[in-house]
Amino acid sequence: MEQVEFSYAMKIEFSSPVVRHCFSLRCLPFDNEYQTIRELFIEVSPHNVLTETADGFGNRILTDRITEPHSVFSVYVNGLAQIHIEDKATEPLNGIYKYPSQYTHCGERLTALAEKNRAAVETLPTGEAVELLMREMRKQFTYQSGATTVQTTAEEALEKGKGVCQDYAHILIALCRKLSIPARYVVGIQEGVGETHAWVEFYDNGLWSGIDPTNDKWVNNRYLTLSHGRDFADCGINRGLFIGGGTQKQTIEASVRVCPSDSSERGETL
Amino acid sequence: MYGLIDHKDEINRLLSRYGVKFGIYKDNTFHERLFPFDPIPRTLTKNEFSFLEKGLRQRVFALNLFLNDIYGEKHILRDKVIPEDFVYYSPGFLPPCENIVPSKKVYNHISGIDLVQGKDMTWYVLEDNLRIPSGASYPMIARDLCRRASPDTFQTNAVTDNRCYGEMLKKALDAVNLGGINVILTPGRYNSAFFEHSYLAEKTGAVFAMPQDLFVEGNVLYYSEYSGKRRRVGTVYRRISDEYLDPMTFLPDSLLGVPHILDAYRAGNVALVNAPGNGVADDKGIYYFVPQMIRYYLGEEPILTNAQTYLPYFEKDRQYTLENLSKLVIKDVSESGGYGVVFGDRLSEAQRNALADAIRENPRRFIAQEVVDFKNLPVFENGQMRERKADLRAFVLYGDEIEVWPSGLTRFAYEEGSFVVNSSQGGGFKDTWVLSR
Repeated sequence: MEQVEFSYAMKIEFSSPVVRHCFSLRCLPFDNEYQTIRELFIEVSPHNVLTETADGFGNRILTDRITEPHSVFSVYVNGLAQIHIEDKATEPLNGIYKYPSQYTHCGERLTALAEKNRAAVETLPTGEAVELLMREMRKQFTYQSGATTVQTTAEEALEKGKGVCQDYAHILIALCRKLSIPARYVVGIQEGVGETHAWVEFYDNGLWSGIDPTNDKWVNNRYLTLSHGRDFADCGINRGLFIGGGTQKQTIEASVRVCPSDSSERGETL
Repeated sequence: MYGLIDHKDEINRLLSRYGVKFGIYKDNTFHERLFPFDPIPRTLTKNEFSFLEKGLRQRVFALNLFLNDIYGEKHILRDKVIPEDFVYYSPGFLPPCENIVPSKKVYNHISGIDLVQGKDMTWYVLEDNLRIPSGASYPMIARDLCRRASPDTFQTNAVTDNRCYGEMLKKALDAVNLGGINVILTPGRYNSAFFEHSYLAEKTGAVFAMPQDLFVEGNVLYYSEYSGKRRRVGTVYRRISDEYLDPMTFLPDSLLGVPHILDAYRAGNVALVNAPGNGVADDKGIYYFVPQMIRYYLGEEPILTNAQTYLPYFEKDRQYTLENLSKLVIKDVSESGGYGVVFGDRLSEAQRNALADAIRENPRRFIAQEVVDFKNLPVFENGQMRERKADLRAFVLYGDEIEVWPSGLTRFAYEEGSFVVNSSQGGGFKDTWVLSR
C-alpha cells in the first residue's frame, strides 16, 4: 500500500466571455477496489455550487451550469489517497468491456497485429498475454505528441505509428478485446509526470489489473485513477458546452506524490 | 361504414388544412407530404381486440422486464437465453444508461407494436417500436373529422370511442411524474412528426417545449417560461432521439438536446418518456428472442406469434437463409422505417449473390423472415374499390398499468401487391375501429 497526495488543476482562459456554460467534470478520484480516498478538496471558479452525480461506468462527476459571463474557468482538486493494488476486491465483469467501442474498432492493421499474436496469446496466462501484446504494439509505435488528436482512433493511430498515451491505450485495448481479453480505458495521474495520463486495465479472474503501455510497465501504487470507461469518449475530464468564448487557452497541472504514511501516529503506539 | 367513402375528399382536404402531414428526408432535404387517408376503416371485433389486448400486454410487460434486466443485472445474458453479441453490438444499447432505475421501473411507456394479419387470420407481430413510435394522432384526428362529416355512421355502428388516447397518455405521464409539470419536447418544426407533437401536447395538457426552453440545475430539470419564471419538470415526453438528447453524454454537437438531462434522469428527478436506451429491445435482432423472453421472464407461452424468423448468426439458420434467399425477406438490423428491407424474389442474380456474401461476411447484421402473406384490405381509389396490404400499429401505454388503446394506426402500401407499408415509403392510412359489441 502507498499513501499519496494528489492534485489536479485546470484552467481555461477565454479570449472573450462565455455564457450558459454547462460542464461535466470527471476529475474526482473515488473509492474503488484498489484505492481509498482519505481527504478531498474541490474548488471550481467562477462559482462553486456543484452537483455531484455518477455515470453509467461508475465514475463520479461534478456538474454545473454557469449562466453569468466569465472569461476564466478553473478547477482545483487535491487530497490524500491510499492505493493498494496488491489487495483488491473482485468484481463481476460488465460485458461492455469485451466489445469494440467508438475508438477501438479493429481495421486491417489492428486485425493483422492481433491475428499475428493470436496463437501465442492463447497459450499464455492473461497477464503475460497482455504484456506480449504491449511489447508487440510498442515495436510499431513510438511516442510523439502532436501526431494525433483527441479524435484519432486506435486504427488510425497505429497507421501513423506515433502518438500519445491515449493512442497507446486505445491500441492495446483494441488488441486485447479482439483476442477475447476484456479491457478498459483508465484516466488518472501517475507519479512525477505533471499532467493527466491514460492507461489500460484488463480483466482476469474477477480482477482488474493495470498496465501502462506508454511507459512499458505495470501499474503500481503510484497511479491514481480518476475515471474509467470503454475508451476516451467515456472518460472526458472536462466536457463542456457554452456560448461565446473566441479562442481558449487551457493549462493543466496534475501530480501524485508519495507522502509519509500516518500509520505510526495512529496505530502502532497502541 | 362505407358511408364515409363519399366524404373521402372532404376529409383529406380538412386533414391537409389542419396540417396533418408527414415529413421525410430524401437526399438530405426535407419534404412535407400529406399522409393520404382512406375512409374505409379496418374493423376489429370485440373478441379479436381482446385477444390482441392480452397478447400485447404480455409482450410489452416482458419487454419492459428485459430493459430493466439489461441495464441492471443482465440475468438473461448470464443464463444464455440471448447471446450477448446481440445486446453488446446493438446500436440501441447505451452503456451510459447502465444502472439507472427509471420511475416505477418503466422504460417503454409508449410502445408501438406493428402487427399484420395473415390470410389464415393469424396475427403476427412484425416489429416492436419502443423508442419514439409515432402515428397515434392520425387516427385520432381522422376519427374526429369522420364523426363530423358523417355522424350517422357512428350512430349505426357500435364503434369504441378512440378519443381517449389523450387521457390515457396523460395518465401514463402522470403515473411516472417525479414532481413538476409534464412537458412534450419536440426537436422542432423540421421533424417528420411535428404536427403530432403539438397535437398530443394539446390533448394531454402538457407544456409544449423546444430544447432551448429547458435547462438543468442541481440535477433538476426546469422549463423556463416566457416571463423568465422557471417551473420544475416531472415528466418529459421527448420526441428527440437518444443520441441527440443530451450533448453532455451523447453526440457532443447536438443542438437539439438539453445538457445534463440524463443526469437529472439518473438522479431520479425527472421521468423520460420513453426511457433512453430502449433501442436495445426493439432491435430487429432482439425481435427474434422476444418469445423466449416471455417464457424466461414470465414463465408463460407467448400469446402473439412472431413471423417465422431466421438468424443467420446461427449456423443452421444461416444455411437455410442462404439456400432460400429468393423466397425470404431480409432485413438489416441496423436500419428502420422500412429502409434496409429486401425481398429476395425482387433481386437480380447478381444482387442476390452480393447479399449472400454480405450475410456470410457479417451474419449478425441480418435477419431473414418468411414472407407473411397478409390479408388485403379494401381501399377506395379513383372511384373504385381496390385492395392493398396493410399492417396495424397498436399503441400500448404503460404507467401504473398496461393499457392498449382501442384503436390503432392502419397503414397500407402505396402500390398494389407491395408489402412495404411504412409511411416514409409513401403509403396511406386508415382509421381502426374496435367494435364495442
